[in-house]
Amino acid sequence: MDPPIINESSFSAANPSSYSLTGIWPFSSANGGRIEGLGLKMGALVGRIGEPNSTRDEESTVTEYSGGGGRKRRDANFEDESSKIVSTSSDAIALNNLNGKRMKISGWKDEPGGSKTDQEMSSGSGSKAPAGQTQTHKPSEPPKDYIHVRARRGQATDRHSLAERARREKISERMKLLQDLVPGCNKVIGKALVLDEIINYIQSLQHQVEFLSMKLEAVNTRMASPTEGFPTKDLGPQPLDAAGLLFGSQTTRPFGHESQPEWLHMQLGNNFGRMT
Amino acid sequence: MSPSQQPTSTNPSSLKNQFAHRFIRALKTLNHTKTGAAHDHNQMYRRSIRVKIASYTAMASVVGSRRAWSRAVLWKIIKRSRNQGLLLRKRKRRNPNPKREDFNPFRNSGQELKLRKLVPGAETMDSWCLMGETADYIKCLVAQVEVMKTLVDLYSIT
Repeated sequence: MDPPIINESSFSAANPSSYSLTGIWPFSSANGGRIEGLGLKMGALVGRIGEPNSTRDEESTVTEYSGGGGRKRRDANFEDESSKIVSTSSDAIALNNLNGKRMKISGWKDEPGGSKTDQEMSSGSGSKAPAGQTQTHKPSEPPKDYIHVRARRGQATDRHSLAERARREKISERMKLLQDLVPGCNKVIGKALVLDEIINYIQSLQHQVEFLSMKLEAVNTRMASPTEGFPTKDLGPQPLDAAGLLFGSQTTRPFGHESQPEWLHMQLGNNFGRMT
Repeated sequence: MSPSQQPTSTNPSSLKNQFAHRFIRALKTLNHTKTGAAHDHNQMYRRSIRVKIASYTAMASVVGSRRAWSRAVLWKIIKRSRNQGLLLRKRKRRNPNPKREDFNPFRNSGQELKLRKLVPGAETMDSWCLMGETADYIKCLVAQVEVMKTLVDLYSIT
């Protein structure tokens, strides 16, 4: 019944000290491709064990089938980070065996996972040795199909709320990325305000594109009809071809953006090679 | 495939390069086919709209079919050029991830709705994909605006 998907060697790449869990819990996500069949089994098992715990505020982990997509890079990153905190001990294994509820199957998903798990461990059932934190790492290989979530103390541990929480955390991760993209969004807190900022930013960018396109059109029209009296000594009636000439002759032209001349040189160089 | 058309992935400078390349080509084409009346406001307006469409199309074609928003933009352009004389028929795209439950029951209200309207092709996505598309769209828009600014600067020296 246990398909031989566990390779201890696959774990050794990530963390040599995390073998022990394979003994307890033979199902693991070491081999993402084969999990699909197991997903249901694991879900059922976990669900069965998780249900009596739904009212308890003890911690448990549940794996979730995430349906793929190639966006599991974060998991790899966080595994690298959190590989420092992993340690296993035989006590912990025995405890886990006895406990039955502690099915820590795999790595954390979110960033402050390290510090959070330390707190959780210490705030968990105090009688157990808190140092015995067991964790397996998915070796940082591409696509794992599971996202592993840890439930915090005091939160419901039934399957649906865990799924909801995992989804919310995924979305908030991406919101953080968006906050980095949008300037001035770091000071804003709260999903609604951040979304407002993002919407404003996108609208302003689109207006800028429209305005610049009008300006470009005007400039092009002016350039293309040199009878209007503008001095176009550097640009002929085909301003676009002559842009390369312009660049070649005026190297000290002041630019608003310092980083751009380089790429424009390259681009116009390509252009020239292509068109002449 | 010519060396200047290699996939850009996330490199912003090559994105700008390729976008500028295609955009300038499109502008050349527009230049050659323009009519001469420069003072007619209607004509100017239409020309500026063409420039805008050219810029969005150039950006979307650089990104290619990697992203849902670029596919949506290109699809709209193709549809528009096909339907020039015909009736515009509405065509809804089915949700490409039907196996996922519709997680967020409130997706069609509030700011997310506004975001979905702004980002092309994001109407039928789940929230997580929407965020990813928005990020990519913002990145490409920023590159687009920078290139256009530089071009305007370049051509407006007189």
